Amino acid sequence: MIELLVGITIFGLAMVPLLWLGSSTTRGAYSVGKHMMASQLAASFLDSLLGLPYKECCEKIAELKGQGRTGVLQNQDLQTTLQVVNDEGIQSDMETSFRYFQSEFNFDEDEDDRILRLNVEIYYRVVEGDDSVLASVRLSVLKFGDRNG
Amino acid sequence: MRSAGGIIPIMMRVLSPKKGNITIILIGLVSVMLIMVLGLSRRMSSHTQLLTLSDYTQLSRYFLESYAGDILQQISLDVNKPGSTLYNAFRAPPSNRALDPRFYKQSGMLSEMAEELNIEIQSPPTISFAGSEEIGYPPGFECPPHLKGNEKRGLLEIVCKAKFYGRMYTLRVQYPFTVVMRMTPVLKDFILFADSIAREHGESKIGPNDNINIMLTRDGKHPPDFDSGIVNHNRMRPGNKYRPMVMLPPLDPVEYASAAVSGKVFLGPSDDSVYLNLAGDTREEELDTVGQAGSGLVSASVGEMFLVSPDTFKVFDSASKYQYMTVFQKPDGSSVRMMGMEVPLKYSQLAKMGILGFSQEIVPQYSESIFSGAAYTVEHFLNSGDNACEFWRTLKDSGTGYGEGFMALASGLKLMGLKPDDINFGHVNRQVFGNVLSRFFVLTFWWPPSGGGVPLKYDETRSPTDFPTTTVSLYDYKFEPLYAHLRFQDFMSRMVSGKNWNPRMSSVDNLPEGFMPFNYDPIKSTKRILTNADFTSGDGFKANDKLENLMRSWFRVTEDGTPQQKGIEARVGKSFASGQEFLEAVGIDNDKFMVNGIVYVAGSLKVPPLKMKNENIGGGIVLVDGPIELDSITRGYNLNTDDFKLGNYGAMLFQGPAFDYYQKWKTEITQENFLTFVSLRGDPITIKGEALIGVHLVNLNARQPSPYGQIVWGPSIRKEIVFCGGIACNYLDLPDRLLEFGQVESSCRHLRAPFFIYHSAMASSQPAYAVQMMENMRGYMLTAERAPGDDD
Repeated sequence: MIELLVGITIFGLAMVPLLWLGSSTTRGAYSVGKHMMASQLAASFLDSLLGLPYKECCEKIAELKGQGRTGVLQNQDLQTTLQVVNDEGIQSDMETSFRYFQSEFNFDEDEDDRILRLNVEIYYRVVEGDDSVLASVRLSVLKFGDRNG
Repeated sequence: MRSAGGIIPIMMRVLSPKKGNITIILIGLVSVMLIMVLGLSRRMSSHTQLLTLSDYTQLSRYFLESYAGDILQQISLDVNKPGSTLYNAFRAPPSNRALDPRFYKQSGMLSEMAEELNIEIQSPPTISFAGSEEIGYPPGFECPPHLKGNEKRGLLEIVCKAKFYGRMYTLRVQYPFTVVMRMTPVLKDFILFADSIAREHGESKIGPNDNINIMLTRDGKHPPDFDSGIVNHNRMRPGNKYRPMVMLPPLDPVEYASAAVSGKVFLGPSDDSVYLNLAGDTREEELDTVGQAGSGLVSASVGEMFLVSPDTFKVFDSASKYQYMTVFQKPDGSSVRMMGMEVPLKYSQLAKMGILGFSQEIVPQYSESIFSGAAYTVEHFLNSGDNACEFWRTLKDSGTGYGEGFMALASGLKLMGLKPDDINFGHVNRQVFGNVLSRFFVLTFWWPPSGGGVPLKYDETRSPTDFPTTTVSLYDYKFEPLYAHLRFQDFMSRMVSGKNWNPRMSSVDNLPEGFMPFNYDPIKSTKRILTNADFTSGDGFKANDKLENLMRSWFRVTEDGTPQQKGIEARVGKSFASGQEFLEAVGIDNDKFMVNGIVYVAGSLKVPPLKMKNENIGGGIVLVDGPIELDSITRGYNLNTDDFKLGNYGAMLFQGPAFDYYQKWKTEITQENFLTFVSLRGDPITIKGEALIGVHLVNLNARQPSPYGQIVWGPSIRKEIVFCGGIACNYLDLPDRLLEFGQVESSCRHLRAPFFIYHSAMASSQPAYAVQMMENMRGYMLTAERAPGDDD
């Protein structure tokens, strides 16, 4: 009997770090997924801005910057994409996946050289239910306008 | 798994009825779980590493794309600057060679970004040409051998590298580019190209529906107001003001004498004929004879009889000279005088051949007609009924004729400018393509020795040897030419080019007798219709198809899904969604207009005044899929067109303000900064500024089969119109154009018309090319490798 008690105690004690490690691994796996999604989102936002003519791009990024940090689902381009998908299941999955993602746009412009630096930062929750701890992915790229001699 | 596999046999061996089994089992379980967790942890750790690598790659990718973009922007900046290394490199013969990267200077923003991300840029980048091919031409364009391959498309490969957290990232990317002519081949050699203008003639080609021969002429001028009182034209309204469209000869003596650079004219189509009524001037000799300086107090004559050189007629030799003479006398003893020549006949007899242009003075109903009070009028020379020529019958037939008043209307289009005022310069050497014929009158009066002259009436069917006879005071006289080969028809009175000639029925080489081609080669002293086969452009291009077909295929816009043409469509470098977007891209806000290639603009285009200097204008072709509005294009020249004038009489062309301006433009404006605006689908090009310098306007895809305003001068123009360049359209719709010109007060007392001048740079023997860099990447390849000397 004593042996059983000792065994259970040892097992219990041994399980504590193991469970902690397991939980941490699960959190890590969740975080990795979110990070990848954030990275893809940032890249797609940048690519869509790069596809615009220079002036339109300036106007668009200025408008997005003015909105501050907002939920990505509020982004018009993403909304349009979701509407195009036209599948309730996928739409609902996407909305669930992105519901805690936030985006923030910024830019700098060298007007003389017509170079525009686009910055996009996507924030996501490290823990699903906790909005106090956020991680982010930040990407930057330069867009060039015609300098006309 | 290998360690777990080792534990199980031990456990099986240890399990026995002895005590301590639970401990052993627990230890086993804990070990298994530990191993599982360690495995999971290791897996997570590799995931994290992969994620880190993915992040680095993403950052590097965007950085390297920015780096390549920076290089591309600087290439685009320099590649069209004459004299730069890049300018020469892209225009050199095609080969896969490396490009010297020393032109590249890293932009400040790229350096900042590198510093912020802790990326180490590897300089210099590697830039090389990666294949190119010739851009072909639509059928009919014959490119001269020395220009073959100059228009090309190719790929420019940029390889740029950056070191980031111990890895070397390399981006290899190719950007397409094209090298294209800045101006339209063949078309650029024309000051005026109107390929369907024959339709403006109306069916009869004379009379109230003829919208080409519409300029009232009187006293050697075109009166500002259309107030003849003897002619009712359907489009020309009494009281309105009109001025003609005069294509001036070059304001430069060398260009004046050169058919290659004086600006060609094409009036089409090639299967129809165009008749231009030559304006007459029956005033005294000094006003209408080449080489007579006149008093200097009179305005230059608008008369065009200088185009009728004596070699037009078989009865004159080349050394003959016109004189102002009495052709016959009125009963009151006064003379009917006109320009012409005396033709000696046998037996000391004389025939006097007078030539008359279209002018109010020859209309018998006009009270001040030269025939007023005379026994003979034009009708007595040109015959009547079936024996008269076609166009004369159209005017004269009783009941159905349009009336002789139309003899007062000369062509509204003057292809050779004003009468030369200096005999030393002679006739401008300008080639006129198309079946363009000069229409005027010849009146021949036979003077037997004893008086009592006889008009030699038009009669095409009369036997060639059936010369007239007359009896004066019981003496019989016979008209006998000095030379036996001369026929009656060589002497008879007539309306030259007086009947409708259908070029589809006979070739231009077999033009029937009685027609005078407008085109004249002053060097060979021959008048001949020119076709595409006679065309050679300044740069050597030839035309192996009808000129109108050539241009139609060049500017053809194909529908989606059909194979692209080899014309302008294959050469478009950039497309813009709107006119506004185009204007911003060419730098209008920075006082620049850098087209530098061939661009497409969807929708309408409104171009504000372009006052920037030449060096801030990058020449090219702007294809607009909608209406175009152009304000003045003055290129930095301080030009008040109200001061634009020819020189004093005696030296009109090669002196004076207009000449001075052209001397500047001639050298300072080149094909490198010439602008071509093309209305792709026949929408009008409206000009709202008085001066367009160095401009080619093209509107060759008519949206309707009947004439309409394709190139229009707006009502806001209040100063003299000055146009230096070329015009190409299907229709001019002359009545409206001449009315638009008539709303402006003339700046010059000699030329009461807008100034249309060709620019010889358009016909340069060396065409200018623009390089167009495209931003769409190809052959994209991003690679990463361990950086040399770095351990991860």
